[in-house]
Amino acid sequence: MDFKKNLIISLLFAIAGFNLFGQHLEFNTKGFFGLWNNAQTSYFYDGAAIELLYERPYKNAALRAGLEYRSIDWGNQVSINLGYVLTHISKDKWNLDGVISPGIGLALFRENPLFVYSISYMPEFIFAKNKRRNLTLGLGIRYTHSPAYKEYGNINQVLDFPLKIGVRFMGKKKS
Amino acid sequence: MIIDHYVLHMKKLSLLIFILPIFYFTSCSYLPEELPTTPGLVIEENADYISLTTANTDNRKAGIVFNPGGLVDPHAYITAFEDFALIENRMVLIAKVTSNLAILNTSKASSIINDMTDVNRWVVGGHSLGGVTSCIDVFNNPDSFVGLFILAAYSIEDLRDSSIPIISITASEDALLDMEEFSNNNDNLPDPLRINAPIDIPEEGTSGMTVFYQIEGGNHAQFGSYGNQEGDGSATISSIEQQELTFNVLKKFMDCNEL
Repeated sequence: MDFKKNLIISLLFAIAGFNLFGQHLEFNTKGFFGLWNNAQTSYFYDGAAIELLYERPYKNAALRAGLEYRSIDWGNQVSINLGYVLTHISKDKWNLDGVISPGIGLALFRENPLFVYSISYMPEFIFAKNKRRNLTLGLGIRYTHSPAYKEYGNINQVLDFPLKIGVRFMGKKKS
Repeated sequence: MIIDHYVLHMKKLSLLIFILPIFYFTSCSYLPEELPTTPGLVIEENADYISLTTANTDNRKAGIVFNPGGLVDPHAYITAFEDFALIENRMVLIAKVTSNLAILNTSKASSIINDMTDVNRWVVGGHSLGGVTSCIDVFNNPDSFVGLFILAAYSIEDLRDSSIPIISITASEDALLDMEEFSNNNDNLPDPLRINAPIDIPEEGTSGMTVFYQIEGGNHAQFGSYGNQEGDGSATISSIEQQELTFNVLKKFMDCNEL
């Protein structure tokens, strides 16, 4: 448990540090449409999520870090999702980005939260662009695994299509 | 400039610091005991339910579909219901619900049994919040079920005119069930028939009434297998004993009602 507490505290500090240099704040809602888990291969609904993230430009791309709370097969989980954002197409009114995003976190169980990790890729549109806020819409693919949950249930890995709708609040550009 | 940036940073950080504990403390589930490996018991699972069957499952008998208690992992009820599969040869489905809160999927039980064409009669039940949800499902889908059992729960819907047999099981050391709400909401169920032992259930059936049975020495959490629950009373019997007593009274209830 100490390890997990330390993990959460470390991640909070990491996010806080990143946040200090963050330029954009984004709030996302997500729905997850399951494609596969380690007991079935078929469509299933696999929960929803809310996410708060910060993003800052980095060279020709951008880096992001966010906190996500989601419902999933084994209940609820919180995770820190990092992201590397590449802009594929940039127009006046819209962008098409691709986001590669690893995440680590905890499945929320009393007294014994379980480690979870994920990796995802999501193409996303940024549109209705203005100086203060943008809308974002994305559809990607994500693999999530809670290794220790295998002791309690048959399903501890899922492959989902996450659908994301969000609002990005633009910060002031730093000189 | 630096101060402004620092203030902005602290606002953002405080948002995170507030959000995290709220979600953490309102959404942590109770972990089950590790998966049982009972010989002969076939445990299968998909995104919607856990099924318990054996090679001898008799699909002519009513199946059981069960809603777990709030924030309790559904696997925590496998041990409590495995005897219905192993001894009674019934199909048992334990619903998996969003965020482990059955109240978020009030028609889950009625929807998953629609896919089970081999069994055409179903008894629905639930523990705690799952019991409340089962009553809502019966209210909304009265033709889907032939019986209802609730463990440490009550109905917030008016089921007084329901014709299916209903049984309400409580435990004497349960400190989590709100007894005032329980008593007030008993008016939502058909006429009461209080029993002291399973043998008191009338052989001719109990349609149109609600059987009330209290397990002496049991508590709230021992209807499942997930350890102690915060705020619960101290049981004076083991969870195995409590689950055996629950099985015995439910078996008698279903036998008397030819389910």
